[in-house]
Amino acid sequence: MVGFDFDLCKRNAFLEERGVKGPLLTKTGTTIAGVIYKDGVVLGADTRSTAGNTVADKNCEKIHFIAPNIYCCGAGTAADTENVTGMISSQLELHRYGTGRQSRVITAMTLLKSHLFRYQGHVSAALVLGGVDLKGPHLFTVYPHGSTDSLPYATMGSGSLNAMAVFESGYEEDMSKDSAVALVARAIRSGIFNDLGSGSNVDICVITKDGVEYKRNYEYLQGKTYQRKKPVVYPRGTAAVVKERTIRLVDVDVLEGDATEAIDFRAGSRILEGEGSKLYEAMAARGLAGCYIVPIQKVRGVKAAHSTEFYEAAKRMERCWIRLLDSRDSGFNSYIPGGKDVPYSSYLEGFTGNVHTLWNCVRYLYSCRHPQVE
Amino acid sequence: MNGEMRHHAEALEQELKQGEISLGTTIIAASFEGGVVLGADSRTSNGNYVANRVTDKLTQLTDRVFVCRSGSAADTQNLSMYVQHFLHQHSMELDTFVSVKTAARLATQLTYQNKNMLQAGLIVAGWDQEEGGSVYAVPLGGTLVKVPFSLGGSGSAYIYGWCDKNWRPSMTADDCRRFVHTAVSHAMARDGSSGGCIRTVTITKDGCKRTFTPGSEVPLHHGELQGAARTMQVSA
Repeated sequence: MVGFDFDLCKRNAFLEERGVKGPLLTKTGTTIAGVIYKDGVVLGADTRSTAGNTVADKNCEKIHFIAPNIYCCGAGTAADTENVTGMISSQLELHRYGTGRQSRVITAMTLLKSHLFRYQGHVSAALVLGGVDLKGPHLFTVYPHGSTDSLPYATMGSGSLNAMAVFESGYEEDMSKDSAVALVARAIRSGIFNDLGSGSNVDICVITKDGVEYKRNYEYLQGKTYQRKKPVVYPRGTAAVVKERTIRLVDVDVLEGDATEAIDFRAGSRILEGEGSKLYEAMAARGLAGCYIVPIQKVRGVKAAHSTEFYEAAKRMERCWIRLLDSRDSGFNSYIPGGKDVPYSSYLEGFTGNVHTLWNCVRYLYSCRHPQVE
Repeated sequence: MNGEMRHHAEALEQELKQGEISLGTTIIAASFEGGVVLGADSRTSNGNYVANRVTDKLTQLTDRVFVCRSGSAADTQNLSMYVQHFLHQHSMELDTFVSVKTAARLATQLTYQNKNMLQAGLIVAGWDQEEGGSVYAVPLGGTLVKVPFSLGGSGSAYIYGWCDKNWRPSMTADDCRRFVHTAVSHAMARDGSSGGCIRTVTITKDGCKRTFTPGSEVPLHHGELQGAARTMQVSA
């Protein structure tokens, strides 16, 4: 079902009459503007988005992509401007595949106005559309009800009066790129500083026939006054050691690699450094039965039956070897004494992080051999 | 209509009007010997704010037919798009020029059928083989009247008398254009919702000719001054 449903309007009007407040929409009380200059179009926008009196986003993006040669500034309800530009952008992309030609700005404008007119102003998107096509630079304003204007310089949003005042005093025909960018930035700044609905930073987008320069935060007027420390790093030894315990893995044969490194499971990550797979290969080359333990991170939703199978198998083992793989290793099958290849994920239900997995595996295998330990 | 319904209707009505861009306007079309002249001011307003001061309210429908738009900008622009679309199809089937009457009839049908959705006052005018230059008024309710000349928009109220007095049935193209130009300039002088520049189109069997008069060159009337702002007007 495409379109709006107005069934609840009556109910909402009734509720509102009784003093119930409806939810607030996130609006971009906005200053957006555009200018045509000698070689193309300059678009500009502030970066404040508001919900009622609250600033919802201090650095949002209001210059939307329409086509590689067309961009669009949006004011009004944030959801509407974002979605309507996205929809038209997608229609134009399909149109380009169909025609094999660059999109024209007037096509984008017509699609936008037809859509907005169909919804009779309920899609509240007020746009400044700019781009360069085979006929040269174009600049349009598009109003929520579906009317459009073609202009050499245009402004929209709550700060449009401030920005227009700057344009009316500073606009000249056939400006250079630098003075056009400076003028648009000045217009947006006048909105940012004098209009309550606009604020934060200046975004600029310059479109010429040779390409696009998207200058995000061209003027960073209200940068952060602090930097959040992320992630928080605690030095080693911050947490006190409450209890220490050493388990000697007497039954683990290390066929290759440094024995102390393999055994020292408390070091966790060190033991995962690739020695395990060599160990397994050496083991397999000698035709020995064994089991190797694999990670860890990607194991999800394993059936209990499988793990029991593994535990049973592990119990029957004469001796066991541990194969430890790091997360980059893509060994898929493990070898179980008894000769069956089973996907490794089957074995590791319930194990979650690296160190814990290691600890649990080792402890489990150890307890198979020595049930009296823990 | 019960109370609740009325409340609902009022709410809807307000919603339609609120924030809608309107062409508080002066438009005019007048016929002369061998053609028509259409004229309009260039102001588009949004409440107290002039949203566009160089608007083109004279929209081409076919080769020899134009329309003057007044009312809601969105409604009249989109209505014109539909009329253009259907007339284009029609002219291809017909394989000849579309008559002004056909264009006007189509415009009325669309306005009349959607009269509760639209706020569109149109004047369709142009030239065709059958009738020569002709003017059709298509006001808000969607009636269709053929007239020798027609005025529209908020500014028209100020110039009815002047136009009734000065229109002559057999003017030259130039006289007629001057008549339209002067009429619009008078309306712009008195009507707050009209202003900016003056645009005209003259349509004869030979084609369409546009003129553009920037705000700085619009004739001054009683009490008006050649201010600094007027001389500074950017030509657009």
